[in-house]
Amino acid sequence: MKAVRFATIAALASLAACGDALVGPAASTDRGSLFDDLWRQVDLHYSFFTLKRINWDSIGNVYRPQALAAKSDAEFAGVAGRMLNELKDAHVSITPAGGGTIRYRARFELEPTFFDARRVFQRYVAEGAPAAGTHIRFGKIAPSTGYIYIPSFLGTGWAGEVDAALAALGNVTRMIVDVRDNGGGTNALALDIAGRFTDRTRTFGYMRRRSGPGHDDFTGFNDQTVSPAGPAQFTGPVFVLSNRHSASSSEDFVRAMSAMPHATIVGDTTAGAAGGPIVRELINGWTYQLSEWIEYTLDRATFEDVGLAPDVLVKATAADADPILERAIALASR
Amino acid sequence: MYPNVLSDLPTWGRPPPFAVPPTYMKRPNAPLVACLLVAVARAASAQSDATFAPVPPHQLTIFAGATQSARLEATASPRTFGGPGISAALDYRGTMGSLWTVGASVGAGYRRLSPLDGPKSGTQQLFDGDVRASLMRRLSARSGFSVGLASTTNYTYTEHRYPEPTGRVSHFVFGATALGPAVAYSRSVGRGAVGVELSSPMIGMVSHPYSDNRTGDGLSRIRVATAADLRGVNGTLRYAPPMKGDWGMVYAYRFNLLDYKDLQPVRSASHSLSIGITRRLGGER
Repeated sequence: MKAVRFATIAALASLAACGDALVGPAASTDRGSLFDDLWRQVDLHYSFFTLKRINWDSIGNVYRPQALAAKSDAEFAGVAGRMLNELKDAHVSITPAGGGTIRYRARFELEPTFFDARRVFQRYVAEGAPAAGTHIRFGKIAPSTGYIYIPSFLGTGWAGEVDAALAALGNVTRMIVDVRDNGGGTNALALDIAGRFTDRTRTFGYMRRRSGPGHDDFTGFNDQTVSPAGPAQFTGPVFVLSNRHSASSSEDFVRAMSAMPHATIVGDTTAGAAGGPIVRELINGWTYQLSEWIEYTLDRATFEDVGLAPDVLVKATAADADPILERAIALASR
Repeated sequence: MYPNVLSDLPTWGRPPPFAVPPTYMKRPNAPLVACLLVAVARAASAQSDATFAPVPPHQLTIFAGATQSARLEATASPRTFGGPGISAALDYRGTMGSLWTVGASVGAGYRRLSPLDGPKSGTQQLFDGDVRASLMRRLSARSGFSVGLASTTNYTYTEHRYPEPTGRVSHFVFGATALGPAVAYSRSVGRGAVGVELSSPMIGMVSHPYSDNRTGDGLSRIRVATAADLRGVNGTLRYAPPMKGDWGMVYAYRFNLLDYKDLQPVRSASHSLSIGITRRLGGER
């Protein structure tokens, strides 16, 4: 009986203490708290404050009164979006519940590229055909020159489509890989595909992540490497086509290919989206994305807002022809 | 189970330039430890004629149970997540002489959590493991009251799925090894035995990367944590009915509280009910 009494006392004491200690005040979802959380998380994690010379304190001071004065969620989202747009970063956005992502339109996104994939396949690719999947298209531009068009690196697990394309193209000795207007996606996928074109592991650049609350708190330079992937690798001359809309993971692909001595980048400078994004959420369930790391070229220069210059610069025009592809074809026929 | 548990976020990082009223988290362990220690001490003092519960030289128990937990991993989200899970553990206890008791256990668990705050979108899946060891000494050969040291190493891998339409999945890790004081009390109840154990970290090492887990990013860091930043309580209430031969059952209620004070804190509270099958490996029957 005493034992039962003891157990009961202990259990009750435990439960009482738990109840007092664990049930705190309700999580605050008022606009001030939401704004402060968003501001703080960006302050803790965003990677380009110093590089872009952004006074985040000042921006917070400007937008907080507007956020508090917002009369609806939509209005609050607009204020939050405008605050984030001050970062002028294509990787930064906020998505309220129900969708409707608010994001910054970078300058490169407003520049026309005059690229038309349909025209490429109609005019230049003799045996244009979709791959086994739906993510890439490929064909032969000449008997010895293959062409693979990769419009996006979104998703995961479809790098095998490139293997299928390489196998279907057979014994071509030159390859043109087109990532024009490719806005990026999953960088691991981009590097997995780049691995189809390298015979050994190569370092193609560096990345540093925010590692502390100071705006200049970063990890050291971490190697970014590309390694052979897939059942076979194409190691003949490769011409990678890029333009101002080749962004983010697409730029990872371009940098990885640049590290290969048999690859030549042809076209226009890339977009210059060198931040690695992370996703976070607010207490009300809205999500937002921000750059948390900085990517660098092999000479440890960042290309944010600058882009990656090609080996062979060719500017596209509004004319019906495709001067970038034609230049690559000319290079491949040498 | 724990509405709004640990939900009042502290001001972290540098203070914002605009006025924000600070909020403070209630420290869960201080009142809990006090309450439980008082309860245990009173029970121990009141039971001067308590029936001493002998511990076999070696005893091995396999536990399986259900867990309910609430968790805030501020690196992933400002929201507290909670929900059910399952756990299993292999537990060893043994005696060294008439006063000393050693214990060791290896456990693993899986939890699927949903938000306790705000909208119900987004989920967390937790995979965790722990290794515990304790060395206890009875106050006297006939006392059921023991004091000693306990070490706990735990590792939690969190797969956090952000709400739709983003739906992005990120992974976070938290690992801690800590050493601290432990108290235990056991006594016979009929032909069975009941026991209470409490331990709390005093010093340890914590691995809590600044952001989500990515290979080769150089973000991993290990820091020494004292009781000022790593607070917690591990407790167990167990009852073992009379054994049949060398075999028996054990029923255990466990709770764990953790509050890791960081720029992006980790706080968790969990409790579980487990049933174990135990095998006596020596001693009197």
